[in-house]
Amino acid sequence: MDTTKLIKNIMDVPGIEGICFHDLDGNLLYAQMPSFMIEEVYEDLLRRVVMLYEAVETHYVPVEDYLLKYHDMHLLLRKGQDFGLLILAQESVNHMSLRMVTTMAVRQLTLEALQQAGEKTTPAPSTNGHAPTSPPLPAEPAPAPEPQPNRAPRTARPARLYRGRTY
Amino acid sequence: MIQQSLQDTLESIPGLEGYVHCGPTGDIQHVDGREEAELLGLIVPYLQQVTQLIGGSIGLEGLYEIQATSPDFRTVVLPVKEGILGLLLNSRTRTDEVVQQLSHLTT
Repeated sequence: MDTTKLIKNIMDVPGIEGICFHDLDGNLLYAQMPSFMIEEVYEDLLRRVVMLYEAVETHYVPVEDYLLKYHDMHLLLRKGQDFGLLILAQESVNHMSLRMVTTMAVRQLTLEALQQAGEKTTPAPSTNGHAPTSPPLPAEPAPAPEPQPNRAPRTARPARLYRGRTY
Repeated sequence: MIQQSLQDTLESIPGLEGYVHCGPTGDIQHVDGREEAELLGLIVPYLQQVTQLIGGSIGLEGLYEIQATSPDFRTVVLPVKEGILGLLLNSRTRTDEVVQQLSHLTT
């Protein structure tokens, strides 16, 4: 079974808002999350998830998955052999179905396959596996460079001539 | 007494293999059952803190339940009026029913 299909199986479970895979160093491999999940968010999020896995395994017992229930949303964290999986879901999600499809994904996906899948995607867009209905936003203009002292202005004044020579 | 009523409630839960009750500051008030219950008591405050941070990273607030599935049993952590309750449940136990049964104790 291919990577795309395994991920789609998870996204097809009613109530799933997003999914992301990461390696066990906390690096993002693949993400299909709601648009509010900007790329900068992943660093802190995944570092904390990996920290949780390590601390609990060291000081308590090995844990296969975590279900964290917050008001409005649930987070499912699953740890595979060499990668982790994070799923954002609505409260109404069927946890049995979700656990079943994620078990398949954790057993069949590999780190390499996820790295390849990640190269084809960018973190952020898409909600619930459907193509976004609104047109993509135009790219943000590049930020203006910081003003620097002792530097010639970009637009030079037109040259002034006197008898064919500049002055 | 709150502790006694908590024990009475817990003893009526089918599939309960152990539990730990921590006070508001994380100190262990009572532990019973599987030996892992005591270990759970030691990490419960950390577990609650780090999972709050995980949610906070993406704007999720109001953590009200943590479930962790291990090969032999399932751990459930619930904030209760008098601290934190950590339960070790048989894997076949219906966790949602247990949580419902304890709803009068949770915050």
